[in-house]
Amino acid sequence: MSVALVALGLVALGAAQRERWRAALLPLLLWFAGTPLSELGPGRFAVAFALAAVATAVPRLAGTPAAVAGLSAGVALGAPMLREMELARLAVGLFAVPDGALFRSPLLWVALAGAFVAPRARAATGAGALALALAAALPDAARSPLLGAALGLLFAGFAAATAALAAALRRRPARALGAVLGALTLWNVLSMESYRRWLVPRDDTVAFADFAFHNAAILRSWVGAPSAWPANVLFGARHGLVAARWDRLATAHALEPWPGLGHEIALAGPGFEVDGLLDGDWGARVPCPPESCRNLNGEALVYFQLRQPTRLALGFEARGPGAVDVALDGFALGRLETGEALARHVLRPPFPLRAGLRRLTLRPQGDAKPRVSKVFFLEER
Amino acid sequence: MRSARNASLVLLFAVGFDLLCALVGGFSLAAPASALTPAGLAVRLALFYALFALRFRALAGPGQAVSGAHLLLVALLMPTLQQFQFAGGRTGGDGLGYYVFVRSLWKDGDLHFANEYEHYGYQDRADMMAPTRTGHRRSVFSIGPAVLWTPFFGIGEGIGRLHRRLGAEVDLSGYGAVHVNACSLGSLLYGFLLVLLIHDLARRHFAPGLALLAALATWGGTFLHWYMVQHPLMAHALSGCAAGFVVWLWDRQRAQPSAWGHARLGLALGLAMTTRWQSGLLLLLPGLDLLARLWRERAAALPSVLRHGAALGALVAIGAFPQMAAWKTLFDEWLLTHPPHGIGWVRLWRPYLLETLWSSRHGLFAWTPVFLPAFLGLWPLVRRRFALGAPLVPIVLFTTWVNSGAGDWWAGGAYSLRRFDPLLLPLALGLAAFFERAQEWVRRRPEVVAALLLVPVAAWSLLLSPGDSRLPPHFPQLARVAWLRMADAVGSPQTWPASWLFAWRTGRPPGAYDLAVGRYLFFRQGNLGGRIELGGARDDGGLLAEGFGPPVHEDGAEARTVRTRARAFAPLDLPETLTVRVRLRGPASVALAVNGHDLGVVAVAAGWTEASWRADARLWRKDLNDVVLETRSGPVLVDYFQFQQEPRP
Repeated sequence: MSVALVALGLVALGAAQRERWRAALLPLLLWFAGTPLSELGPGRFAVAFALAAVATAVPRLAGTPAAVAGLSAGVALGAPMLREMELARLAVGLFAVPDGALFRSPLLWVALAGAFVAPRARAATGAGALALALAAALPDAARSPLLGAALGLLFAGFAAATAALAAALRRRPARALGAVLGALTLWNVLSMESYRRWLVPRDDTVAFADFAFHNAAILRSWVGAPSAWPANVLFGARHGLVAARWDRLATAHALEPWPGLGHEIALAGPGFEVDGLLDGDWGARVPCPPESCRNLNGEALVYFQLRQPTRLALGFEARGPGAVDVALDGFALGRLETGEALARHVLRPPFPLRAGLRRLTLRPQGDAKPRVSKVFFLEER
Repeated sequence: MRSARNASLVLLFAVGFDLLCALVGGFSLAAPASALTPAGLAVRLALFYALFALRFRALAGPGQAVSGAHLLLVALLMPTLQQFQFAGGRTGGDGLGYYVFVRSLWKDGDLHFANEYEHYGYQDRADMMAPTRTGHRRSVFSIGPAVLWTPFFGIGEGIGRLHRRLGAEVDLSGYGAVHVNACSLGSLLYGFLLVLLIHDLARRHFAPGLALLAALATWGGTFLHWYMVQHPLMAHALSGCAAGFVVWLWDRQRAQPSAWGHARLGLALGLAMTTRWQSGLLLLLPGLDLLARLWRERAAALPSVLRHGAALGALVAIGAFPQMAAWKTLFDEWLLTHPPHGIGWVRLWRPYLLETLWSSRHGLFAWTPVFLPAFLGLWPLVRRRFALGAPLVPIVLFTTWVNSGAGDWWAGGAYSLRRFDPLLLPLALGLAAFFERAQEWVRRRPEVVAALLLVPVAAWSLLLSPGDSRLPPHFPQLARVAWLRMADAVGSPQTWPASWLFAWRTGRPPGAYDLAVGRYLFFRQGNLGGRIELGGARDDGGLLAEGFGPPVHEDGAEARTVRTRARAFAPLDLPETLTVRVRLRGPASVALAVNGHDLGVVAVAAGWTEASWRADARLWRKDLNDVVLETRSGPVLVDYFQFQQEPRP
């Protein structure tokens, strides 16, 4: 399917571009590889290509009656959605790890830059950006017809940006070398740090995929995941957390299916699922048959998100004699006694929980170190 | 203006001295009793840099201002010093082996290392503690670093004494922090000097921007920074600097050759040779020049060539004398006929060229990819600047050959292939030439280059798109997933083309190259001890090709299931007769083949048992061998492959 459609798209674009089609070939191939174009259904794919062809071939369309009519129709169709659009959902739609449109396809940034470097691509790129934002703010962006339209329109910006980049490189070729050198130096700096921390073997072979993992982890701990900028940095600044926490917390919504948390968090689950949710004095993973647990060594936190204000009962499953003080966002909810057997303990906050990032605090009393297997959420109706 | 210049210079010296006290003694003259904090050092570094820029840029006389490039390089030195002080390493690895020379020379006045070895806990190392013919303890290390560190050792002594005068308790034994810090700082500064030399030499032959790029790439993109900051007591920053100084001096004086110039060059060469013996290859530079002159001018040049050659030779001998004296003292020989590591340490007839350059075990290009364009740049360097490039090429090639023939071509616990340190400056010139050529290409094909620059960005999306709906919300994991998918398809880019060759030879994905190539059953340190484990803490999964199941825990063993046929790689340095013992659990009939030669069928019982086969030396080859296990009647569990050498006479 994809190959035939790409061929069709190329022909359409070539016809529309006339003598400039060769210049558009490389950007088009990159666009196909670096965006979710190939994941669109045939209909949306065709629409995307048609829009791309029109937007890149007829840049003077902007301002014509046809464009004004098209834009008016788009605004009329999109207005209800614009009203519904939530900033938080938009941020997740664009920057969530791994499915945010800009996180997954950083080429879209290049396309957006096209609006700044090429006036003739401004109208199409602007419309594309709007369509992308609307699509990203929808619950299921990947299946939105708007995404196809966005990818089609944004191609005008991408083609313009790559053309501008090529022109800049022709004038100042050292910039290309500087970029490559910068990337190699960054890789080397991160590799030295991985090596310094003994994350890779010092006298043995190493899988470079592991090197990539550790280097990415170090980079993320320093500045957050680059492909989630600036959402992760802003999120960290707003909540007083490191930007790296964005990866997991952005989509860690209670009561929602994966990558939401559903109704419980298995604390001893795979690192990438829970590490970003936990903070404070959690111990290492320990067995507590039939589950796996973590020791509650001291004051420990669990972060989760709520999509909307919700009346929610909170609880945890633990074993080991002792008592645990529970607080939510610093507000004491009560104290729960834990026993020898693995059992569930529930607290019902006397108020609905606000939407956004919430912080559950567990603090053991005295020297007790209960083992906690799960934190769970019960929706109160 | 003049008084402002003088005042800023005095201030610069004052802040510089305080900085020296901070870096070497960990104290400030302003508050000698308090420990230096990161913020305190950062303020001093910023002040020092501001004064430096003021004095040598803003207040400099006409034509005396330092260039913007130098200003940038000095600016980059400041955070390097901060890292050196608070996140850097000191001793470790081979570093102590070099440091004992300077400590013993200046504190004990001898080369008896018994006390130093005991201090550092080497009492149990028979190879180090066994007395030599002269009653000394062995050392396989060169004395050059001690020579280069000597002024810094003295600075450490002086600052230590000053701190003691100010009331602190300071260890002045030579084992204490103050001397170690001073020598480490020395290495860092020698490394920085190398960066300046690279910049200066490259600027003589290339555009200023390219010279700066080459200097920055060598500093930030290679192992140089590591050995300046994390392992400063190893010889690599020093050796890079000493060899770089030779090349810099050679290029500077060759336009107007003189006896004095050759004498200076000879002294520098001798010193470089005492720092890293293989730097002796640099003798080719003046040697080829003298021969070329003789060839061009025939008899007319003979007297001057002889004079210059004699000056060169005499001063090389003087420069290298400390090493000869050290060998005489330690081993009772002025010149060793083979490295002190042993006769078989360097095997020039059996180089591991592909591994040295591309293996994931510190392969030069694999770990520090910036060296690949540096090597490629030698071609345009020779074509466009023949006089500069042509003499450097044999040195680069010989050094590469020697390094790939070294006993452990991967250089033990190294960051990248540190033994290429004498080539840092020559390769920086290659890099500059590559950049120059690449610039032209960028100008001719900017659209293609723009697209190429965006390929990694597009690849990120392409590699994460297909299929998997449960990709983890975890950037590092995604980076691993993307890399694994890429490696499976085309190999890790920094292992190209060696991983492609591997894939073609073995029928495995090119990504398997990373873990399969660079390990040995028996060869040198860190070998597998003859065993391939199929699970557990030391899972050698990288040496398994196809047919093995995932690791399972069965009857107290970590094992893998083989249902019909499975292939493993047995990496050897030498073909030799081996007994292959495989721990299995049947029941089944199991056959083993080595490189396509059947070794026979063995009946395996229901419990864990060890089946064994003997394979003649003729069946094996150097590098990877196919060992195929085939079960004829149902699946078997395999715990390990144990390869056993025949007793040697």
